[in-house]
Formats: sequence, C-alpha cells, structure tokens
Amino acid sequence: MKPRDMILVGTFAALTAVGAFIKVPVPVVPFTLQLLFVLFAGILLGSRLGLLSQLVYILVGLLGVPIFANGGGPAYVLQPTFGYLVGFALGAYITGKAVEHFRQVDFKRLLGVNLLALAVIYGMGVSYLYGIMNWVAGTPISLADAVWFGAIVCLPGDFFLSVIAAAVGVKVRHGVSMAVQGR
Amino acid sequence: MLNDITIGQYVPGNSVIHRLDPRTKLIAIIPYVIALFSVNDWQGFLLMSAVTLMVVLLTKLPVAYVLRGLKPIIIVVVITVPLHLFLTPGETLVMAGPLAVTREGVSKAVFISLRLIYLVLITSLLTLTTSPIRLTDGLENLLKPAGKIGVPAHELAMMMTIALRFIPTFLDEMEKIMKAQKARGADFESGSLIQRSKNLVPLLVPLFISAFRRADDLAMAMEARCYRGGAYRTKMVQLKLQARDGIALAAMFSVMLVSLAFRWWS
Repeated sequence: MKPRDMILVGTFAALTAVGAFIKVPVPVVPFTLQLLFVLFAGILLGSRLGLLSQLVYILVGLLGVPIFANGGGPAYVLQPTFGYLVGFALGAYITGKAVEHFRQVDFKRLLGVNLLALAVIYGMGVSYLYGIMNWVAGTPISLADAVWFGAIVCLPGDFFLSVIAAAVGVKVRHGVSMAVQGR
Repeated sequence: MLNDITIGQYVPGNSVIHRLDPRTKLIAIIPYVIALFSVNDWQGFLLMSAVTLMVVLLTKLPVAYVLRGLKPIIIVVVITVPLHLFLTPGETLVMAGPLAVTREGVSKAVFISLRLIYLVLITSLLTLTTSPIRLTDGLENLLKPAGKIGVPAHELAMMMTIALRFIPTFLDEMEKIMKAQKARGADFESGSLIQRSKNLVPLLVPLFISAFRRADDLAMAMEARCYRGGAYRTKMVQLKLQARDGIALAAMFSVMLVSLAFRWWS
C-alpha cells in the first residue's frame, strides 16, 4: 500500500469520527453527519480504500476511543445500533464499487448509488437492532417497530444527506480522484 | 472534551495490569470468555466473580471508572431481569401478585445478567488499562501471522494510528470553523431540517479543505522520508513478553480449565 493511500484512509476514518460529533438536533432522532462521510469515502476513495476507511473507524472505536455516536469500547458490539456501523463499511464499499463501474458519473446515477448504499446500511442496522433486542436483550420488539425506529424515522435526514453527497460528489470527484490516485 | 478523546477511556496507571503486554491482555480475554460461557451453576459463577473481582482490584482503578464502563448495558440488564424472573417456569418461590417468581427464574436472571456484566466489565478493563496506541501495537503484532493470507497488519495499524492522530485535530478544527462562522452570522441551531442541513455547508467545506491539506502534508512528509510499510521496518518501542505475562496467561487458562471441569462434572 502506498503511504498516500494509507493516509487518505486514516483521514476519512477520522472525518467519519468527526461526523458522529456533528449532531443536528432534530426532535425525535438526532441525526449525525456520519452517512455523508461514509458516502464520500466510497465516492472519492473507491471501493477498497473506502471499505478500509470504515473498518479502521470501527476498529479505533472498538479500541476504546469514544468516536461512535454513543461512546466507544469493545462493549459497543452489544449496542443495538452497532449494525449501522457494519452497514457503513458495506455502504462505502458498494458506493465505491458502483462509481468505479460507471463510465461517466452524473448526479442521478450517484444519487441512485447513494440510496442503494443507504438501503444496505438500513438493512444491516435494522436486522442487527432486531437481533440484539430479541436475542441478547430479551426485549422482543416486532419487526415493524424495528423498521419504524431503525429506518423510517431517520429516512428524511439521511435522504437529504444522500442528495448532498451526490450533488457535491459529482463536482468534486474528478478533481479529488486525480489528486487521490496521483494519476 | 478534546483531551478526553485522545486517550479515550484509558486511565494512566502503573498497576500490574497496566504493565502487562497488550498482546497478553488481548489473548487473555479469550479463555476468560470461554470460562464465562461454560459455567452454569452457582459454584461456577462464584469462581468467575472471584476472578473478575481480583482482576478489578489488581488494576487499582477507582471503582467509579470501572462501573462507568457498565453504563451501556445497564438498561439491558434492568429490562431482562424481570422477564427471566417472572417468565421462567419451575418451582415457585414467592408470589408477586399474579406473577410467580421461580427458583429457576432467579438463577437464570442472575446468571444471564452476571454473564453480560462480567463480559462488558472485562473488555472495558482492557481499554481502561491500555492506551489505544499500545492496543494498536499489540493488534498489529497478533495479526502478523495473518499477513500470509493477505491481512495487511502493519498497514492497518498505521492507518489506525493516523486516524487516532487526526481525530482530535479535526475536532479542534471543526470547533474553530464553527466559531468563526458563527462570528460571521452563521446559524446552526434554528430553522427547518433542510435549512439546518444547508447551514452545515459553510462548516463542511472548510473542514474538507483543511483535512485534505493536512493529509497531503503528511503524505509528502512520509514520502520525503522514504516511508514504506511492512517487512523491514524497525520499531522504537519493542513489545517484549515478561514473566508476568506468562503468569497472567497461565492463570487465565487454568481458570478456563477449572470452569470446563465444573461443567463436565455437574
């Protein structure tokens, strides 16, 4: 691995951590900007480095640095919301993979990819939430509730972030990916 | 807040547990967890409680710190205990209104919550007594054999270190940018959701620019010094196993064997 790639991965892991601290105070569920950085990691770094950046973010958090939305430490695996973090890694990978396959990247395609990644993140998040609540916490909740609290409630904010990521991504991608890959 | 982030949960100290090799601590968790999940009677849990208490005492950490690590699961325990207490069929001990507390219910509730509490406790002790940098170092060392199947151990550790280095810097930067934009009349606290998200743009753009500039500077600095990761790098601080590491591992593995023996006989 080239030093430049490693540094970019570290930078995006740190940016995702910062994203967890920018909380927009919305009544029901406070939403953070993590998703924005996850999507940018995929769009700008590509599949492999994007995935790595999210894995590094998760690892650093599990090592006890409080950079997740609710703290950090190895016990975070038992938190119902840990699934979203796993989803982030997959989401960054999918976004990167799709962008690599496009011959040309425009706003509509990018938005489509972002929403696909969002769906995967929600899928991971909701199933983890459901699993933890039912089998670890022993507090059964219905699948409908899990979908409602785990996805529907946060959808407007996250949809908006996907739009931002797509709009900015189209403009920035070309310049940045030249700088990133040094090609 | 910023200093808190850099060291995370780590509480500096000089106890035996603090001085253990990070690899020892990472490995010792495995036999402990196996032991914790294999015991299923009162004697077994007494043994695990004694072991856990001893480790906690050896760390010489203030009890408040140790208990703070339990915060994330306290709710889970509070919710599960009554469920197990009242809903496990078996020999009735006490009637609480229409609900019967059974002997099996009591032991199930106690066992399951103890298991959860000890699991979280021991893992939080790991991060309380080891700095993230040392843990990263230990992780790199343990992952080295996995390099043969393509796990980039050194690179992973380096990227984690870079992230650790950048997180407080970026947070600091973000705070500065936020203040600067507020001084120029930016409003982050009111308006509709869409308005608020739009207001974040003057925060994000400078943050991105500064992040990329820093990344570029670091890349240049590392390339100028001919950094290349992996095989032939030497280290300033070498991890060395001491006698105490052997003792700690032997103790944990014997706890595991004893608890497995408990399970076998009962």
